[in-house]
Amino acid sequence: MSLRRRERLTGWVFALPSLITLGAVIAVPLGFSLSVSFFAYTFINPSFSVFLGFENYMNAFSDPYFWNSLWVTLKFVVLVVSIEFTLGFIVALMLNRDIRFKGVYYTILTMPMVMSPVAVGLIWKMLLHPDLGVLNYFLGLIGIEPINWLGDPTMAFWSVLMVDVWQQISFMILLLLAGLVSLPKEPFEAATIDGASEFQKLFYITIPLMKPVILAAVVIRTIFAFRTYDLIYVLTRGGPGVSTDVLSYFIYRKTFMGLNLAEAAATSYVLLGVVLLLVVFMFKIITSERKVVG
Amino acid sequence: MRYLVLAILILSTALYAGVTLHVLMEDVPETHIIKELLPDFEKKTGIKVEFEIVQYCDMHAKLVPQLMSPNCQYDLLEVDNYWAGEFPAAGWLEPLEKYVERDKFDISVYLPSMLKMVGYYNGRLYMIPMYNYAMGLIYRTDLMNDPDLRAKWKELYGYDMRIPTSVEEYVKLAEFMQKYASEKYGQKIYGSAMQAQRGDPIVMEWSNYLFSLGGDYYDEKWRARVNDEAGVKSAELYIRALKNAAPPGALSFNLDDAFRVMSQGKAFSMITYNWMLAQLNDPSKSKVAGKVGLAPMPGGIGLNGGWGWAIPKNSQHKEEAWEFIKWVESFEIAKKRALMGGAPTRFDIFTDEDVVKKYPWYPKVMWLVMYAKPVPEFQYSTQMIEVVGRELSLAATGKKSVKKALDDAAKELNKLAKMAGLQK
Amino acid sequence: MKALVVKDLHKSFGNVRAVVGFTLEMEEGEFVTLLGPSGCGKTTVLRTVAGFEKADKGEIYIFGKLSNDIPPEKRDVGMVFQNYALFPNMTVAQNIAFSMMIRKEPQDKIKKRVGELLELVQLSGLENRYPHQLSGGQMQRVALARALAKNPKILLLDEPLSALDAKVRQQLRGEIRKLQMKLGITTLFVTHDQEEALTMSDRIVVMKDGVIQQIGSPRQIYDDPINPFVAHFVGTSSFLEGEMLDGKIFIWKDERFEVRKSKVKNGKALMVLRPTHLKMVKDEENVPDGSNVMKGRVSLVTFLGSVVRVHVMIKEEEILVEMPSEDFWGFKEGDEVIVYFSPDFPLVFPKEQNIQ
Repeated sequence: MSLRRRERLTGWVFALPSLITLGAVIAVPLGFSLSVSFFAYTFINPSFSVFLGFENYMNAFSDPYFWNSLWVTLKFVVLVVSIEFTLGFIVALMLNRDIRFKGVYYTILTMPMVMSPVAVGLIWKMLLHPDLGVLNYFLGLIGIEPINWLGDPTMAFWSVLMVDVWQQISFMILLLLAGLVSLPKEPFEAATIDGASEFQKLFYITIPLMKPVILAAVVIRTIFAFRTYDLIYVLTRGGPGVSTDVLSYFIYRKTFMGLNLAEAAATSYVLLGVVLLLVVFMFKIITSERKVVG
Repeated sequence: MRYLVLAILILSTALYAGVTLHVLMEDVPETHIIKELLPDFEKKTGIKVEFEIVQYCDMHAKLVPQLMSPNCQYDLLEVDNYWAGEFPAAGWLEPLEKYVERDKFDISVYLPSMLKMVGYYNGRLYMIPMYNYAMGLIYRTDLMNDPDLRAKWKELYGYDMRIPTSVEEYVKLAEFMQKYASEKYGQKIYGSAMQAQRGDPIVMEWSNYLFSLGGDYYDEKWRARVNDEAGVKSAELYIRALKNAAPPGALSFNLDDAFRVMSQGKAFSMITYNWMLAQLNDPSKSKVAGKVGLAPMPGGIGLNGGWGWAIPKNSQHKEEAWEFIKWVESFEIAKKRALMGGAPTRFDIFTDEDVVKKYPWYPKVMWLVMYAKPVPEFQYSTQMIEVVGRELSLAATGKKSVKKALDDAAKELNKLAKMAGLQK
Repeated sequence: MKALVVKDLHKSFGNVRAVVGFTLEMEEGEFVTLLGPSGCGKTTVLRTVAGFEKADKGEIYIFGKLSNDIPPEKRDVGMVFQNYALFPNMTVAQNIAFSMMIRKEPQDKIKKRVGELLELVQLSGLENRYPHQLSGGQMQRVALARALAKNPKILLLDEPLSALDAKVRQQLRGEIRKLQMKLGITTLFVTHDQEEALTMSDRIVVMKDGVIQQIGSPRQIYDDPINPFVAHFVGTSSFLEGEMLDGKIFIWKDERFEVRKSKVKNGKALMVLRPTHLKMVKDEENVPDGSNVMKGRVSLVTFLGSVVRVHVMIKEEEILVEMPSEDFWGFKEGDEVIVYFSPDFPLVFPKEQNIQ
């Protein structure tokens, strides 16, 4: 008993430095912003003198632009993650076989990922330029009318989506590919002998075996997608109108333009809640089958 | 006496020696011009200057936390006129009167409009004007002088084509050019290379329309008036221009995108910063070099913009920072900057013989700057721009009527003025 | 008709020749083991029979049908893998039913068959468990049931026991053999464990570097290895390097032994002595006439349960002697002993043949 206690103590001692670091860099800012969200704390008047209770939250909820941003964000995240996952999985499956020039593909794939979103945004802004952009030029060659990529409110949303997919899909591909590569060969051979087709192998073996990797990839991408704002900043600034005004850019503006740290913190907490809900929901879906026998 | 001066010089050099001034600077031509001149300052004073050069969009977010902290990492600031209300109101800037009086620094040489915008706030001097970016009309002289187009215009409107004198006439001319210049040259030539991206681009451009039609953001009692007759008319004309005389996609354009269209010879005109003329006249950057001219905003009042030097209250090296301001704003250096392509703020530079010889249009720019008007300066300027930008963009995309959008903007502007304690 | 015929099979991976001229014929119901050290090509042969590898050269006939170009699922083979290869997301029942489900057989039929198979591998009642809830032995039984589910004509076992504990391994190898005999299913088994090979097989194929060394019953392989490699790999042996004279006398250091089974007439030779062929006494009087005799000193005695193994140093060589435990009467380290053997036992090979 005492030995076990001593062991436990040693464990705590080992964990302590990282706990302290984590506390300092995660818990403290989180706690600070939580408390800020209940006060009239702004950059102009940074003090905790006026307690507002839930007023900052109420203000956020009563702002129609907040609801617009929330809707835009959810639409953006769900679409971006599902498109990236679907395409990414297909590409990963295609790369996970004996093909030539694998190294070349990997290099090409990694490139967008290592670029900063701002640079990507600027490059795409030029490609998407309605008059001088390459994209419309090529469309023109095959007789398609120039598309107003970023100037049209509906199209702008899809354009931003496309650019984000372009940049972020490699992350998905590489993560899924890493998962595929490390899968054992034998279950596939066993299934082959049993007469399973490629599709049956995909659904009965690959996907179930990949579940942990898929979960990680999708959750990480979801969280990242919620934080997308640099791309929006460079490409559209949330416009035209409010068609691409995602919540993190909304919060960024509340903080650094509105200087209203308190309301921004409150909105951030709402966003955090949404992200958490979504992530928990995904865990539930993806791990549901395992739960049957527990 | 000579020895005394020398002694003081040596002493002051010794005093400042080892000090390094850290300054956050925007990545624009003016910054690089000053950077080139820095060795002169270092030689004279022994003070080292280090520029951290970043994009505009990163500056505010970098500055605010530093200004709020007990020790500012930046010893000297350049302050955009957007922040010229916010920073002093928050108490982040050192008042400069005592330095000016003590060292007999002459501020009478600055254009009043500049001093008003990036000098004084609430009657106190917080900043020294650094450079201007007042806006005006840049147009294609070749198209303007094209006899066919001129004849067509006369046939349609019964008078000679001229540099527009009102916003309405400008929009009409832009529409005309888009139709007939395109026809004549067999390629698309847009009337106006507009920058209607949500946020500050659309607000900056529209402000020219608003001011020139006699409108404003607030009246003298800080009641919002963007939705009055002038406001609505300016927004309607602006949106008309966007629809009929602007490149597709202008709703997502910022300055760079618009510049690309203009510099490729694909537009007739551009409402933009006066210093863009030099860029458009630079053959290495522009296909229309030598074919562009500058005029005041049709209607007379463009948007003024500019930067000022300031010292943060929590600066570690206030004296050295002031020393730098004195140097960089001295006639000698100010003239050098102007000759290297800078955008002056002083009468004596605008009208200097050598400067005018090199840039003959500078006296015109001076008048443009004198008449130009900045956006209202108060704590919530950036927020105001954000709100107006959003509503204008919504109106331009047809998601809201012009009147409704401006009414909504006015509502929020009133709220901001109240929050700032300006409106009782 | 032969159940399986492999004719002159060749297979290389890049520069590595994995299988060279492999030929084997199997009767229906026969249990044949491919035995050899890792990298000897035994698994490649198995995988080529299964259809996972394509032969560079040679033919494979399964019940008379040339199968080189037939995909694995159409070859009528069942396979059990070293690492179980169960589907972790499926229950035991679902795993076993997989091939039937793929073939869309009716539910009740599947259920009945799964029940039978579970009984066969003694796992009844565990149908709803998931693989991660089973022990290694149980998992391998499930894998076996799954392989048998579609009534294959040939069962392929790829080192199915090597991941298991010694105890479970021994138990399972008996069960597999009994099951195989009961079902009468032709079985090709791959292992590097000579004990498994000796205990389970009808015939053993010993391989080295892609080449068959010897094919024969366990008894033949053990008693009459064809070369020093087989002798070394199957069972325990001591090797003495020496010289043959007239095909009758083996000269080792200054000893002369009479031998009857020599593959060498004159020249350098290698003599193989199985520990069980050697006997050991204290006094020379007890040595039967006509025996070959050596003197040595006991350096180690190890007790292996049913037998005792004694290490004897004779002229700086260590020679192993084994005797049934009940015949062991108290030799201990340091004892001077006499080791002897009958001229009928030892095998003598030419020296050029390497044991490795």
